[in-house]
Amino acid sequence: MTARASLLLVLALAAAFAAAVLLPLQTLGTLFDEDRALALALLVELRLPRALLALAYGATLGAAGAAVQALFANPLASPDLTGTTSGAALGAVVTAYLFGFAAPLALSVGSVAGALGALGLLLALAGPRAETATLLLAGLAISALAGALTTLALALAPSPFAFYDAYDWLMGSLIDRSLAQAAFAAVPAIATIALLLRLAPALDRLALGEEVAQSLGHDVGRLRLQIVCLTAFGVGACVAICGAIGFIGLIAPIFARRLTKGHPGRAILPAALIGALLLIAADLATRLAPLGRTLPIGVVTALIGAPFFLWLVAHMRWRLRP
Amino acid sequence: MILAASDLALPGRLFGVSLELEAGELVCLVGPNGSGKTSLLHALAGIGHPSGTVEMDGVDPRRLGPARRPAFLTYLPATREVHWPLLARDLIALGGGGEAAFAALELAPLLDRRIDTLSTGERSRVLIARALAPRPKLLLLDEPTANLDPLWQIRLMDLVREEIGQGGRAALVAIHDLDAAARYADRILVMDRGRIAAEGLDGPHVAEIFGIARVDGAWRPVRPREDPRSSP
Repeated sequence: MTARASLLLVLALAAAFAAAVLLPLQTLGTLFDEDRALALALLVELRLPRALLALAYGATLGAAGAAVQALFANPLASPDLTGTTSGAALGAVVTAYLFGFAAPLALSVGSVAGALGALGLLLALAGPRAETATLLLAGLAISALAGALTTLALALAPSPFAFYDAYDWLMGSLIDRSLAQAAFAAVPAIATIALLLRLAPALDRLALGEEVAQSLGHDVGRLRLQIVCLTAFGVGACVAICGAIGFIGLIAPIFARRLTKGHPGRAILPAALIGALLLIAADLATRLAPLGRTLPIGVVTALIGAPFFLWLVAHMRWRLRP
Repeated sequence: MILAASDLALPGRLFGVSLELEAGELVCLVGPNGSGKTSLLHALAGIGHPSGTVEMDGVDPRRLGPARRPAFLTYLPATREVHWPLLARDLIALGGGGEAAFAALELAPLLDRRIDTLSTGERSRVLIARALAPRPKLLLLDEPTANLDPLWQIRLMDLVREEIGQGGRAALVAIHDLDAAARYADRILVMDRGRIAAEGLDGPHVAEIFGIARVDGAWRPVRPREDPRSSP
């Protein structure tokens, strides 16, 4: 990635973050004149956590998506299409509604465990270097299974309001989270991205094939395990707080690789920045859209992401065949 | 001697192979399909948890990390797969550094093209350059002449010969073409059923192992060959 591209990306991200905290300015300005304390509370307790969550979750999805795509040598792999986010959602729902632990830490643990289970199942079903069809079919099966089990868990939950309660969260939501909750997503997100960045050179070499990467001194088995655990950790922690948000992990790495001349490992950092940018933009769209009601952010990313995914499937002909 | 390996084994594929390579030696590995040529290259390159020992300059290169290993050995697999559409120049750099400009491979017009836009032969030349670029002590090449036209086959083997002529280096080349092996190799190791069965191509073992013999200057089948995997 060139210095100019990185600078532009960071500036765009900073601008989007500022916009997410400050917009709409008018409301904030009026409120600031009338009730300073309330305006500050609005900033610190509502807008800042929300913007921070969008930043952390988007960056995690982008980085994890880039790492998973590099690992599977497939541009259609991503945490949501391969069932990781659904597995995490299942883990969190089971923890909260069946076991009755609603503390953020318990939710995070349940969610990470669910994500790990889904990724482990994917590796077992599709194999480490899966063809696109196998990968997507296995991901579809895992998502369907996790979705069905999530519904079952909600149906069996003691609380009669479980469905209603969980609905907003399951569709992905950044609203009404505290700064402490934001930290529960942001700290694992930072750790995940930092650790994934250390694996970038090995993932670049994996482009030459697993055998060559091994002959160059990389332990591919360990690399696979590290990516699976880190992705499950980062994505699981974010899902626990914000629910399942799709397509960011698919789209961000595809744009990021255009900045790294196709290098899949080097794309992790730009994919994190682009992922954060996309999610903050999607959140702004949910807030500024004149619909009278705030849309769940997962709906917005899916509305934009799904057509992009269709276009991508149609343009898979550039893929290299051995 | 630049390489001493003993008791190399990979479960079900390679059974206790030992070999030594002298500086400047170009050794060809021949053998029927499934005889263990690729497995032997894998065991030397540290692919797939092989057992046995490998020693080069007092160290086992398979224990070295990515920073040091390409100076000891590089491996060119028989499949010329690349998973992402990288530029040829970047792909060569990923192999562990070194100068990409091998005049003999005429790469200059290819370097700034994406690997998926190259022909199969051009892609092979780029991947060969990737293996040669770190100037390793030991080149492990699996079917390096595959996909190359006759002129490029000759140029490539001449280049390998020239490369290992300098500074205590050697090459181990798995190859199916027995005539090419005879033409280029200092020594030929014949593999059969996961072991080195013989050295050289003179003797009755060629007919036994390959099921072919030279008749009037051309190779002809002498009997139907049994599948090497079906018997112990």
